[in-house]
Amino acid sequence: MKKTILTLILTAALLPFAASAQNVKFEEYDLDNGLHVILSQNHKTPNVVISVMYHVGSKNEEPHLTGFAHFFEHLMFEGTENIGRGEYATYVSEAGGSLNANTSNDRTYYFELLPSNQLELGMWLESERMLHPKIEEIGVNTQKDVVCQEMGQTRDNQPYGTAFTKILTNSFKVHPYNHDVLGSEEHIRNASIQDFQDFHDMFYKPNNAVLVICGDFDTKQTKEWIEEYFGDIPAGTVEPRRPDPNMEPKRTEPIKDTVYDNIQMPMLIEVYPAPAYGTEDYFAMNVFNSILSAGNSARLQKQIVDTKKTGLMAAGGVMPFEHPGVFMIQGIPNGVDLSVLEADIDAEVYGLLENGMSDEEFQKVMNMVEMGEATSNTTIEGVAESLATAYTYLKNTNFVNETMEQYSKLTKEKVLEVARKYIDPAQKISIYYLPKQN
Amino acid sequence: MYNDMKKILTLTLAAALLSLFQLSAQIDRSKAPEAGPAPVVQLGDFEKFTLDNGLRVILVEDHDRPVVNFNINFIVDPFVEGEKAGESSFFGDLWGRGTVNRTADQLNNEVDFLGASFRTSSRSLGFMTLTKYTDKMMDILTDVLYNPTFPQEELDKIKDQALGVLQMSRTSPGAIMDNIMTATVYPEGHAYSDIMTEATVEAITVDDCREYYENYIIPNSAVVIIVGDMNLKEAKSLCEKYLGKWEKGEIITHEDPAVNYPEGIQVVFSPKDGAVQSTIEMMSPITLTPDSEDRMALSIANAIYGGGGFDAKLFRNLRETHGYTYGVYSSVSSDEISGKFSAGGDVNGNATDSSFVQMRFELQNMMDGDYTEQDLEKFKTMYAGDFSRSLESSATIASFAYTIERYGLPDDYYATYLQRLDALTLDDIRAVVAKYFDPDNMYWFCVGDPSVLPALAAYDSDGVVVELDFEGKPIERKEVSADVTVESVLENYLNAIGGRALVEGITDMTEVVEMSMMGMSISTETKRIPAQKAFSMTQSMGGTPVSTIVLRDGKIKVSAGGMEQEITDPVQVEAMSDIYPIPEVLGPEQGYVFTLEGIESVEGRDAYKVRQEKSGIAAYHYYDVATGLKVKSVVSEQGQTTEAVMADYQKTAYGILYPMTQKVTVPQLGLVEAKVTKVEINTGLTPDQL
Repeated sequence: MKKTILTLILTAALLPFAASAQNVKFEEYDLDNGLHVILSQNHKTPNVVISVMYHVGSKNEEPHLTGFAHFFEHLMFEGTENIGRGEYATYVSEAGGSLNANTSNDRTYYFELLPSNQLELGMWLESERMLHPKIEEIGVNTQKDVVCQEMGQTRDNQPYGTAFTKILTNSFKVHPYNHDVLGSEEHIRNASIQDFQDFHDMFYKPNNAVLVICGDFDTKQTKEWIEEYFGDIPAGTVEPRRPDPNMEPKRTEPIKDTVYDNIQMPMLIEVYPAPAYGTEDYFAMNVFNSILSAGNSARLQKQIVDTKKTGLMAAGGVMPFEHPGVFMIQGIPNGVDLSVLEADIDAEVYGLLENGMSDEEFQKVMNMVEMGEATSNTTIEGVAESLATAYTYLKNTNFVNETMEQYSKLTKEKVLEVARKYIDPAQKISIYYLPKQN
Repeated sequence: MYNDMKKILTLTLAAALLSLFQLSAQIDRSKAPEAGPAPVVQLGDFEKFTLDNGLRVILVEDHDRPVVNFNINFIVDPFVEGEKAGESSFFGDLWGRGTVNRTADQLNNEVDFLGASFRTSSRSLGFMTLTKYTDKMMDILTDVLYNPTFPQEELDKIKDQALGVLQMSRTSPGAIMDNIMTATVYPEGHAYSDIMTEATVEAITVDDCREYYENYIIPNSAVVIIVGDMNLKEAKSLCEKYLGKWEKGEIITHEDPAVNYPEGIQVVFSPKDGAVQSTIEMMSPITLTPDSEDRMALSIANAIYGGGGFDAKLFRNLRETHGYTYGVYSSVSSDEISGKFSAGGDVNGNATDSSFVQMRFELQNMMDGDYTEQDLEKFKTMYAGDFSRSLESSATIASFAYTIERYGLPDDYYATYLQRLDALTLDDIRAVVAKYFDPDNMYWFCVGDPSVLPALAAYDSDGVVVELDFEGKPIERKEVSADVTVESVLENYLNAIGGRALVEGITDMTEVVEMSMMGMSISTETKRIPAQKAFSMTQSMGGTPVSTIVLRDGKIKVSAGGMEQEITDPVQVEAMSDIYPIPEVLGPEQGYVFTLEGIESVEGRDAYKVRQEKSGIAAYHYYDVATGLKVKSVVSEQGQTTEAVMADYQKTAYGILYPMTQKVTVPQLGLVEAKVTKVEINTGLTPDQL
């Protein structure tokens, strides 16, 4: 809860892909107040995860009130009418469980891992904060300090800490992806209780959330508890603010941006547009990127790091955004100017685009996909989040079981055809990170 | 079996009754719901067999996914590497970089093509793959196991990397802490006494790696762990086919001398000039082997003291009550040769001694029994939850099986874990506290600014503080002879470079320094006009100016990356004003205070160490005792320390001597050599030329 998802995404994006396991069994239904419920049993150990994903992230914020979704990630631990300040986490740890939360551009996620005999405690905790969280002076002020300190620690004073912000502000001029998850310190500092209350009333309601229970539980009992604890929570009456996914106009000119930061090593980031998470194009772009980036034998590693030795590392990733997002390639130079590294990386990217890939390379990536499938969703914690994400982004929970099929529909030709739509020199953004002097 | 069934039936009945009751009642939101009856935690099974060559195999079947994880663990009795410190880890890295049949490249390509992963270390060799490629990966694994080539050029790469890491660790408090602990606790000839240095890295050869391979990579001291989609029959035939003909070797063991226990409070200090925070550890070796029956109780006692994070005494005292630190923790580790108990963290420099005092105070509270049944119950519940959740992964079962095998624990060691945990009483905690904690006999290790030492030294039982350098070697303190004062050191320096009159005659100076960093040439041009309180610094990268700072008319203008900023706050301007080329001619009236701190060694030669303070910022300068010349400077800014070693003094046109080479150690980057390419003095520079 003290760490944003930001860094996680940046790391995850550099991995080949987060493929999903096949054959996750689940059932789902809606309560009368609109709360979507997903249940997935797994009796391997006597543990259970209860989680709530609210369909609100930084992209749902207003331009003059940024950082609110992340702020609520913190505020919702402050307590409720029945849970005193600071007691939320204590209930969980004294039950032998653990808890956490994170926020992205698209959604906010809360979860508790509990021994299975403590599931009702989890119901009580999550329903309490959905029903009546405390949005009061003392808790708000405490969390303002904590959140602003976090901005300093994870973004403003960290080497390359502003990288993600720079990627977003350069990529989006209109779409609210243009501000990062942490948002503006000024906005948070100056926000009133009423601002927070309004944001709460719009988004933190059962009809804008999905409840997932995964692990060792009795279905009948669990459904009864869900009705008892969540059934009475009133639905929201304010229509949630949702930006148009395609509002961002196409870039027509490449952008160059130079950032001087407290760093020792320069860094290059190239950014292109990318398809939204879970679309047909998304899978193709992942394969395209894997040819360039996945494993020790990937093209960027082989050519840039091992052969030309112009980079210490070079790899790309497609950001898993709900709306059309970004594809980025990161490189650290090895004793050359960033422009040299950039030219070498571009030679690989556009070379692949023009000359295509070998059958062997394509097969290699497909093998990697299959391995990713086989080793994903190994924990109830992971399965719960995959289910929640699939429902929240795509309204198709069974998406978790369909990814392998999506990949197997691809061909070498199809991958290139899709990549050509996005890897466009006119839409390229180059960000140079250089060491700040004194 | 019957009992288990009965238990499960009772639980089900209880749950059914409970749910009936719940149905008829309205939920009460005002308090947390009660927990249901504790669930039965069941451990997964593992299987074991041994090949004729002594190779032991543990199999944990998991057919949920078509994946096989295969690992060979080598049980190596730790030995002294001494002048070759680092050889084991180098061997582990080099092992997988080439065989008689495959180059490093080919290995990478084949593994990637299968979507698999492959790893080597000094103590293990293994892979993870889709089940269908298990044979292909076994082929690669056995090629590495039987036919490694240890290519020289790959060893060179590993050495380069290691030297880079060592360079950075010179100024890393964590690395220095490790070294001074090692040097203090483990005597020569002890397996844990090794400290890797540039010299030991240079000394390691491919033959050393091959020797390690021949001595320790043998089946009769190895344990194979297979986790995943494989049954016992398949595992047996796979191991027999690929590993059955692997020849036995002789198991080598070593004896270690006794470790050094602290007598009283023994302060061990390593200076890190300019450090704002001190890195501290209160530590003692303990005899705690992995099969000790005390482990669980001691682990809980440690959690109550400092291991339990937010809920522990240390965190509440040092962070919440006193604000000395962001985080402070304690740990207990078991080991066949030498276990340890330690507590510490990074604390504010000016709270260094107070932090030790509070850590000792809380440890004394433990001795005095200042903990309750509730503390015990809280951590029991947390441990039980962690244990239960860890069982979700088949790898946990495998690691349990391996630990049982490795340390000769009872077969039901983990199966009875929760029972043993539940049975722990306050008396058990009291017993281990009395046996393992000893607040009056501890090492107090500290890496920090020398200014924190006097207060700390007062707590040392025999009044003799051990001072060690970053590699754990004793720092020799030479007596400064009575006739030497800070004034005489500075005057000697001024004389050595041409005399005070010449230095004071400098009215302006222009200097260009060039260095190469990450392949970019960076040049810095500095201009100073002391009498006009004016200076400028322009930094260029590859010939293009990237940042400029200009001080003129009491204002500082900073331009970088197309952005301009003006600083007018007099305090800030004063702090940033670097207008004097040679500050040694100055005194308190210009805001400079110098103090002589002693004699230390710089690049093997004795040098006087002088502390300079200006605007509350400290810097340290070192002057060669024999030549009088300045040989080193250390400056800390925002917690980052930069060190410069000066050499190659040459006469400038103006007449003074100036160091033309500076070896600069930059945080996180290591050593960079800078060359002075231009020094011009008294060219009639005016402020508008800056």
